[in-house]
Amino acid sequence: MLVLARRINESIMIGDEIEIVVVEIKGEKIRLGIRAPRSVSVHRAEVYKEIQEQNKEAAKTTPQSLEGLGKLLKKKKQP
Amino acid sequence: MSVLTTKAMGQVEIAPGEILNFPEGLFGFSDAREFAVLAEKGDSPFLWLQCVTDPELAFVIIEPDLFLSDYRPQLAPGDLDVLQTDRLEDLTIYVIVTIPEKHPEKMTANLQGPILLHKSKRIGRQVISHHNKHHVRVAILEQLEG
Repeated sequence: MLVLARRINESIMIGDEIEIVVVEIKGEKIRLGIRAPRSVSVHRAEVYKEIQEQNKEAAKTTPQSLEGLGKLLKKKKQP
Repeated sequence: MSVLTTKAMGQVEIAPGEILNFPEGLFGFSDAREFAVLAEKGDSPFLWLQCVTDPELAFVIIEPDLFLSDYRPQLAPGDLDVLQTDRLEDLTIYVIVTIPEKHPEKMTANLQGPILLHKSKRIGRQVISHHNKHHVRVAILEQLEG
């Protein structure tokens, strides 16, 4: 991993179009500003990874486990 | 018509127009680019999002309106660009359901990573909702119990 030291208000460029600025440093917390094209999605890594993991978990769902669940859902909906 | 081998329903005939293109795949499955939405038998509210190129890869999906009254993902600018629209109203929204093998009644829906489909353009995308109440594992039946 490339490691760079930056001060407040300094930034780094990733390619020509993505800029990451150190906006604020407060104790252990650093606020970053990200300037990127609309087509680049920016997310906190843990959110992204959690959805990846959940997709993997969801992919394990078996057709058998669905049996009867539709009826149960409808029964709860209209008690 | 072509024959699709599915995880849940064996071999199913589908028209070429039923294949949806996911240009970025799904999170964790970036190679899965083509899917078809298949209805369960009978009047089940669940659907299968079946990968066209991998018969073993399929997700149970459901319309969130069936258990939530006001679900609307909160998106970042540009999130809909791939779907060639700027209006959520043009899209069909589904959420992925995880059903634990031993406790199916504890099934959860992923409200943070909904699937958006532009059905007439046949494009799909999984997006991330920034709404602070849209969690990854929301118990579906508990929502109906209020």
